[in-house]
Amino acid sequence: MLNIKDLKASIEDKQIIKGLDLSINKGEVHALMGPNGSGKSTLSYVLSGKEGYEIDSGSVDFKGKNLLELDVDERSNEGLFLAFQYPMEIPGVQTSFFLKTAINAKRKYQGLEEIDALEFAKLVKSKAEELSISPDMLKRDLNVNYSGGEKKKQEILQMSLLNPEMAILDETDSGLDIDALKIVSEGVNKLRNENNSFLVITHYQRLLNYIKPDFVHIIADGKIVKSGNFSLALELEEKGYEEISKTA
Amino acid sequence: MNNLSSHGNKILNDFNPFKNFKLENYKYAQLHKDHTSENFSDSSYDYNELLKISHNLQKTDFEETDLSSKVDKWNFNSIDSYFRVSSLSNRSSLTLNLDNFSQEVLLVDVNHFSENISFTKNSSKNQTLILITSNISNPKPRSIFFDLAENSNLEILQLALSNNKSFIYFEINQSDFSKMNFITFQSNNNHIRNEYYASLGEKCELNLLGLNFKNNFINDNFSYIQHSKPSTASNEIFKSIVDNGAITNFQGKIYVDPIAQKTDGYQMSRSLLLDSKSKANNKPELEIYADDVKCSHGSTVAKLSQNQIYYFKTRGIDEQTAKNILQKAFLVEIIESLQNKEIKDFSKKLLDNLI
Amino acid sequence: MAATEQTIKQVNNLGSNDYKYGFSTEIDDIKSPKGLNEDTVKFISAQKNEPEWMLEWRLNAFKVFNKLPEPNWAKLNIPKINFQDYYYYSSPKSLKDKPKSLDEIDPDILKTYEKLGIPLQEQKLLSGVAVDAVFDSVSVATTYKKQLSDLGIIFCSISEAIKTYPDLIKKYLGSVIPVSDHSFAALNSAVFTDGSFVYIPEGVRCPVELSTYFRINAINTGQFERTLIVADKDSYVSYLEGCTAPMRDENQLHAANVELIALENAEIKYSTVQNWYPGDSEGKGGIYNFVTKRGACRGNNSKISWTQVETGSAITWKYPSCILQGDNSKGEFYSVAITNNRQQADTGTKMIHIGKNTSSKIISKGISAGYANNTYRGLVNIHSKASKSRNFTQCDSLLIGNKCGAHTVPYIESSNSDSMIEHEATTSKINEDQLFYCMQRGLNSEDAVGLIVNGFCKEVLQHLPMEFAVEAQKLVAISLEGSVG
Repeated sequence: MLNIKDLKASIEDKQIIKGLDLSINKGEVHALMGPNGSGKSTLSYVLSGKEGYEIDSGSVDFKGKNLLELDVDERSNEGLFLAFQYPMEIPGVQTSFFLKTAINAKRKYQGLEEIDALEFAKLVKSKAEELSISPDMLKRDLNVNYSGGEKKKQEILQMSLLNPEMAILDETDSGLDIDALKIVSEGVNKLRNENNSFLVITHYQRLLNYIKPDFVHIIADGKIVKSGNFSLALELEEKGYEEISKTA
Repeated sequence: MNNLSSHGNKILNDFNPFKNFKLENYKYAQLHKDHTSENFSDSSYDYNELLKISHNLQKTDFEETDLSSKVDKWNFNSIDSYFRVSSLSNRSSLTLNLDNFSQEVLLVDVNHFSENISFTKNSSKNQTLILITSNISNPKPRSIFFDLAENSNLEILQLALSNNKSFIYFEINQSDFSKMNFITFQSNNNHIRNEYYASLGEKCELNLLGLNFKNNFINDNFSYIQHSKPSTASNEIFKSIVDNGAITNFQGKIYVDPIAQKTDGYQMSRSLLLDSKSKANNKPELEIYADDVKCSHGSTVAKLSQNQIYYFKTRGIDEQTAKNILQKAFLVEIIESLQNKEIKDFSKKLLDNLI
Repeated sequence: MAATEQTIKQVNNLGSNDYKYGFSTEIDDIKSPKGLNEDTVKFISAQKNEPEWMLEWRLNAFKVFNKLPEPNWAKLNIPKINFQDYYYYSSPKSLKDKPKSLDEIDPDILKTYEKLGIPLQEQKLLSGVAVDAVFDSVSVATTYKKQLSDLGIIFCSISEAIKTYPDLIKKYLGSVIPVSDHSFAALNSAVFTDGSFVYIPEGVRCPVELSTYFRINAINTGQFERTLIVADKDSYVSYLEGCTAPMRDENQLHAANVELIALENAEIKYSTVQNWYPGDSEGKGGIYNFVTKRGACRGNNSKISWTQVETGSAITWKYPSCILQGDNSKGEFYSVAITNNRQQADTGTKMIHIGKNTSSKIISKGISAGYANNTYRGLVNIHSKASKSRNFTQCDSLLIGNKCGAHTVPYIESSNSDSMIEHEATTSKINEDQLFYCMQRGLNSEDAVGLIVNGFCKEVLQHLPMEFAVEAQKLVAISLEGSVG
């Protein structure tokens, strides 16, 4: 599915990702953990193609295509989804309208007809209910005056509507109380199947109690310093980043 | 002085606001008008207290200089100052380097000078210059220039009190990384106009703040702040209280050059109108050619809050006292931004005495 | 919101930079001799069989025009206009004898309207739009007339009104925009060719949106329409105006005067979607749009509301204004002005508060892209007798790219201590993070810009009547095509 080889990337001439290798297969959930400034969010931006991030070397292969050659929207339409740590507020744009626009962008890319209004309404209603998102919220401007929890739920709603093959969750747990965390995690777990993959970026092991990863990687200073299974996350919680990085 | 450039001659002849009353930049100033107000008294006030905390600069501290090259400096835009051109052609000029004085607070009484004055500063040492431009009764404009070298900083307090006619051009040239804090305190004037032309180098900061109240005829502040390099910040706030048929004008422009990305420009004019004989005219203007900027302006004209006055009265405070307190509260924000504590305290006392 | 969705579809269907309305119609026409002099004025008046008093009025206006300099306050780079280079009257020949019904109209003209999507046909009128379509200089057909006349509403061309309702015209024409206001107003008064007249009688709420669709067809024709709307006591009317013009290399001149009069308790809502040809990407061709629009709230409790979406024209010079004479009267101005490529716009409003307890609201959204310059210029003036008056102004500018300019020039003048003026303005660039977010969800960059800018303009667009809102949202997105790399 996703194959990152010796990736080096910079922003404003400062190298942040310094030779990162990561391979994610269909149906797998990977967790990427690391301290602040280790390059976690940068990796998510580089993979989604945000402007200002320079690729110095290395390659990223997504479903057999060179991901780095694609535009931001093409990557999205190919099935790469990024759940933002800080979702953008877009004043004046109604949430439900935005959702429909995004769904249709993907359908068009796939050569499909636009979604029927009724079908869309039904689809959004059912997905929103699953995430306990009120219908009222869909009428509001996208992410404007949403609470932190509402914004994160909105990201998961978009993910479930776009049904990506590869989803990157960038610190989705930050700013969530325990109830919201459960709802968000359940949303993710429902989407999990043998055909899609997840990269869960997080600071704490807490989220991984709800979204059980197949693999755990620890990132420090732009490189993966240690990989393992779920037990690595537990070990990390116990010993802290510094200790683990040393033993790596 | 006769060898003015063609631009200079054009300004003197065609853009003379004393003759042409419709010039956009002098729209509200009405310089040609004469007004003798019954209320106006030549009430000179005592600034002995200021002399205790400041070093009084004498004429002998200054050197003669030639500023004729300044005539064409702003000749690239429709906006230009008659004040600058006419004062450079009518008055000789003096210069002074503020670094030559170790005192933290310096004072210049402009009324003792018939010349234009140019101040320079190279150091980053904290220094406050008090400019007294009071008791002036002369319709001929004069110019005062400030040239700040790289990394330098300077604070100015202008006290413009009891002027019959005072028309002054201020020019602020800031080299990269310099900081200027300019506060103008205007009260008891008959007809005054201050012009401020500022050009900001890279990562410069300019605060341009003014308050005016209890004036008799026309109080006019005109500014043109040019952001010509990246990452500059300007912060401009003018507050006025008008009564007794007086007029307060604020005209200000923020200009952002195409290369001045990351400009942070803020401009605010607030007026309190105390009666319906008086007038407030505001023209805050943005002219922006760079896209990565954060610029905003605001302007309000209102009266004192009746609810607040009512609240004071319910606490047993009479109406006039309440109004005075609210007026001071409205203006004091400007004084609060003075960095030098002694000068700040002096200005607060002055405000207390004058309201 | 279905509208914005259509916008996106629309953009995709279009080749880039194609002006959708840039076709011209081949028809024989009658033109006045080229140039401008007293004879031109007489020619126009004669062509329209006007009464003597109207000719006098025009000739007087022409004298005033000759004395006035062109207004120069705008921040616009206007090439010297040679008024002798234009034709001031152009009428399709087949319209010489006015058609009695739609069947008599030149099918080519009908086809033009069809391409424009104007619901001229009777059956389309069921959608509730009555149209007074101006084709170059002569009103082609005024539809829906019967239904309106049953209510006592007069909706006809101004030429017809001059003949049929001379008393109303004499009373109100030029009463809001004096002939001597400025040279373009005087020029229009001398040579105006056609336009609409609306009179809503006392107590009547006009049940449909009235609409005029302007279109400049003939080469080198100045179009000088004149619109007069009078809303009598306790009445209401909503009026829509749409403008397109064919693609031509030459610059065409358009100088309209629109006067609105609202009497006691009356309300007029005037909406414009202006999409005149803006010139090509190098700035060649395009309409010069010098428009004077002014409304007078004469009666107590009256209200005038202007909504405009200005996306076209090479140069836009336009300040729809309100004179708030009646006590408690209200003025509103909602504006979206988009300039791209080499377009220039200097637009805004004037709110003159004269009556007591008057209020005004100004919401302006300016978007500048390419090499364009976009200026908001507005005046708020509160007279000393206008106690307890209020104004709120919000001007936001958006810059797309670093070759364009955005300017804000408000004049705020108050002489009343009991009144309150608040003005806020911001300028910023289109938010990169919002763009990235939209693109991460699969939108291409143009769609993303269209979406974000439509969001930016929403506060204004939501004041348009439904049919117009759809069109306007499309235009917003289309006019910014090619603005992002």
